[in-house]
Amino acid sequence: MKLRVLVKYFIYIFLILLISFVLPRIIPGSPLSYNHNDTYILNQSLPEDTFNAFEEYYAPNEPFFNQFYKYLYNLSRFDFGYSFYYKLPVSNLIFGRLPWTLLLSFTSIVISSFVGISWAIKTSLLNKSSNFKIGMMIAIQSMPTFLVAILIQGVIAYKLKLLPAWGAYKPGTVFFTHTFYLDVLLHLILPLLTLILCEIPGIYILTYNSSQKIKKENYVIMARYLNIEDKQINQQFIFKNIIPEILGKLNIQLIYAITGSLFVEAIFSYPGIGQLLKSAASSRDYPLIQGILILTCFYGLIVNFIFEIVLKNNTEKY
Amino acid sequence: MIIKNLSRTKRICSFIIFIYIVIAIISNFIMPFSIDDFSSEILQTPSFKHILGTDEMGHDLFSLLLNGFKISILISIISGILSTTIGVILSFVSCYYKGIIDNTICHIANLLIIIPEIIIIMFFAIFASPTMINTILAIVFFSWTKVFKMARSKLMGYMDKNKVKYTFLIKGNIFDIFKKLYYDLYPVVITSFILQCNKAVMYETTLSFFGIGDPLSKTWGKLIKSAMNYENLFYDNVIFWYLFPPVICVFIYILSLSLLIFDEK
Repeated sequence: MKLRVLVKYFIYIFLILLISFVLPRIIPGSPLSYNHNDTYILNQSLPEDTFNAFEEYYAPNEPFFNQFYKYLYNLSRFDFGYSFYYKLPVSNLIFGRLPWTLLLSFTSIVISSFVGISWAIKTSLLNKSSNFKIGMMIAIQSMPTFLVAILIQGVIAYKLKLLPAWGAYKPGTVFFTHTFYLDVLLHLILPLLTLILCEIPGIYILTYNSSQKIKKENYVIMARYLNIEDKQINQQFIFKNIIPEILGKLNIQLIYAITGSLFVEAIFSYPGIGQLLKSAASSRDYPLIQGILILTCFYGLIVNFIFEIVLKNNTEKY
Repeated sequence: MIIKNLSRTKRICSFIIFIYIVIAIISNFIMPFSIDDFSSEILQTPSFKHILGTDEMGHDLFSLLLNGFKISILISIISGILSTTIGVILSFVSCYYKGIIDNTICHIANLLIIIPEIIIIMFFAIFASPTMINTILAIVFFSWTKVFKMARSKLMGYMDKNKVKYTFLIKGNIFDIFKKLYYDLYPVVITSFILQCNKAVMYETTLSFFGIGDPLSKTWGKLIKSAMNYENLFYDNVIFWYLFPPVICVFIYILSLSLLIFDEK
């Protein structure tokens, strides 16, 4: 059983590496597809040493199979190439920015799952929910995160000038002092608020659906026939059974949290990976976007692996 | 007929979508200025001549917004149709052949669910040359997974039906199965088509905002991006006629599409 799961994940890893290797080489217009004109244009527009680093890393003139071998060898040493825009190794950039992204996404997912789960369970147990509330939740859930971020930034930070609009700390503050931590906290509020606002509906709908399902299970109906008090039914029959079911489905939310935080960071100029993504997209920084893709894919795989192995095997169902 | 069965919210939503499509169709005729025309005075406030004012290049913002209706809705509908078709065809293939083909397609679909769709779409779109077709292809290639999952689970339930067994008995091929089952699949296809249209607008707006895609096709995302790039956006209420109209258009479109497929139970 566990071996099968491991094999499956190895296949997934291989597929991701294959996709990230093959796609840039077969898409028309990409500088890596077999077309010497494109390399020639790149040669004209890039500085000499950046172009040399690019050619050394991708080696577009070698045979296909050698390129793939070289690609795997480089990745195994965490060598993602050399960023055009920042003129730095991609791995240094990404791993330097990673703590900010993790801080933002994990704080937001913890807070929003706490709020969302408890809110949904409460409304569904008290039979208080209305179609309007769920409709609102669906409406917010379907909004692109970055539009919500733009609106919040425009109104709260720029119009009302309540909170800082960009960055993670004021430039020039001394690191690791009391004022620094306070400053980081103050800058964290708006991005965190946006992320929480965008994550709560997903978790709410998930929890609401599964608790509605469990309310209709036979053992709950039987407990009602046996005249067990409502409070006890809620606590011992429903609540304890909802939690493992939600934990099994929370992995998708964790993956949404990381993409959401990438976009929020891009809007608020938070120094995480999202800002790298923005500059990579606007300046067509191929090595950087490849590094970000591989990193997010591996994040998704690791999250799913943890949920599949650790949580699903160790939580009892019903 | 169909309208009568809908609830009040859905009727309002379908009406809004209808209006959007009408505006998109007639946008060429009601545009007060051409989108290539940047001869107006720059940064005007709203007036009778320029309903939403002008941008820092001298384009009339109202015309750009109307043009955004045309292109954004076109992109959303085309990629909705294409990705729904791909998903449904793949689900038929995997239900008909079963075995290793089914497994492979399912694993690929699972993989595309595990890795965030938008990141891989961005990856594709950055590497491809910036045309509208490539943007649509990027969205179509990586967003069929949900359609596939929905259609496949539905089809697997129908595989035990008598008519399907009978078709297999007389050695019918995949097209015969399709003929027997396409009517049963109709609701799923409609729902997933609306979902895909919704997703496509979201992805296209995100891509445009990040500066990926055809710079000449002025979608809502491009308008939002140019508004955000304008440095004095937050002075003198410029935000109300520069940034907010495209944002509100996207909001209402996405909102009505997602309320239309919302299951009221």
